[in-house]
Amino acid sequence: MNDYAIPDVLVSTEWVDQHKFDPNVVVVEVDVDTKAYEEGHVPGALGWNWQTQLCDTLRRDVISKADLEKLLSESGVSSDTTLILYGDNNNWFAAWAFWQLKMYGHEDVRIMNGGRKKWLAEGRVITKEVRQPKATTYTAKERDESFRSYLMQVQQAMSQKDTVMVDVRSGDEYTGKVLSPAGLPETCQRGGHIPGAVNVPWSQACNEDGTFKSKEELEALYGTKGVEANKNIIAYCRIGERSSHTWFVLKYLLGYPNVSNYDGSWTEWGNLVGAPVEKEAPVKATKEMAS
Amino acid sequence: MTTENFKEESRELNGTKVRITSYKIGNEFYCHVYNADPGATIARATANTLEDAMQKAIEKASARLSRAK
Repeated sequence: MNDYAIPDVLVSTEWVDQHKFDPNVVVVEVDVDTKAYEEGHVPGALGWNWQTQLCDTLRRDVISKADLEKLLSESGVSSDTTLILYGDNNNWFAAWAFWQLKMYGHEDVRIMNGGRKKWLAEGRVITKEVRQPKATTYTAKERDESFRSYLMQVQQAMSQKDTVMVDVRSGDEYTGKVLSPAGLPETCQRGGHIPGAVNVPWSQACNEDGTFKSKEELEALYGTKGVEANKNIIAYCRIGERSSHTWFVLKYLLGYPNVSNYDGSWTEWGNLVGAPVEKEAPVKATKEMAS
Repeated sequence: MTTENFKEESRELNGTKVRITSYKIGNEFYCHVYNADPGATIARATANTLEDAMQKAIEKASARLSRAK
């Protein structure tokens, strides 16, 4: 698929249509709209709810190892399963699931390019039937924290010239014009961005049909903002899910070696007492950070 | 079953750019209204006709966007 750095992480809708019932394949839909799965989904696909099944529901954190093992066991997933993720809105939350599965070391996890939108638009068969998988006993690996940046790492990175922070929210969130996307609750006390961060809204990585842009287009998109392979890249957004999409693009489609997701993101930084905030675009900083 | 008449359009609702998708599954019409960026669902509706589904979803979305301002 295209000439991406790690092309195997993507499969086409056609591939999923042909392999959805393969015994070693498990297809899972993860939507931002948690009701979408019930309307109809890829035959055989399971549905995971990002709000209740892909996070720690008590404290703010990613899913625990034990809960992930339970989820994957109940989903009939084994360590050698080819796990196919897809979802609505450019695979937004499919990427969130992908990020967490990679943190816990699942080897073969892939995203269906174009996601739910492309499947529906192509008029492929859907069903409301919910498959009951045969349970397994899944054992996850210890969480790889290198896929993630914590607040302290971000604070330290601000002064490092080889680091570039990418704010993947909309331009209006980045400049502090709005505190949250339209129609969503405001979850921060201050608007703006982390000083020095460049703005590349996450969905710019996708085409109108929900598929990812070509490697060349992606390199140009990020390269013009100084987000390049030789940098230590930290992506963030509001709560860390849009930035998991950008993390996926940079790490797997472009193959950049040092990319992490600051999932504390703006809900952490924008509420932090005394944290520096910038509102205007750092035109000079972009070039300086890139050099 | 399959999805029929999948459509997506962009428009402005109460001063906010939104995307509206509509389609038919079986005998039901579905309409979703998302904010243009990042694409989070603002409202959704199901009805027996496309017009009803769109009207309901747009009314709900308008109300929600008004409350948020």
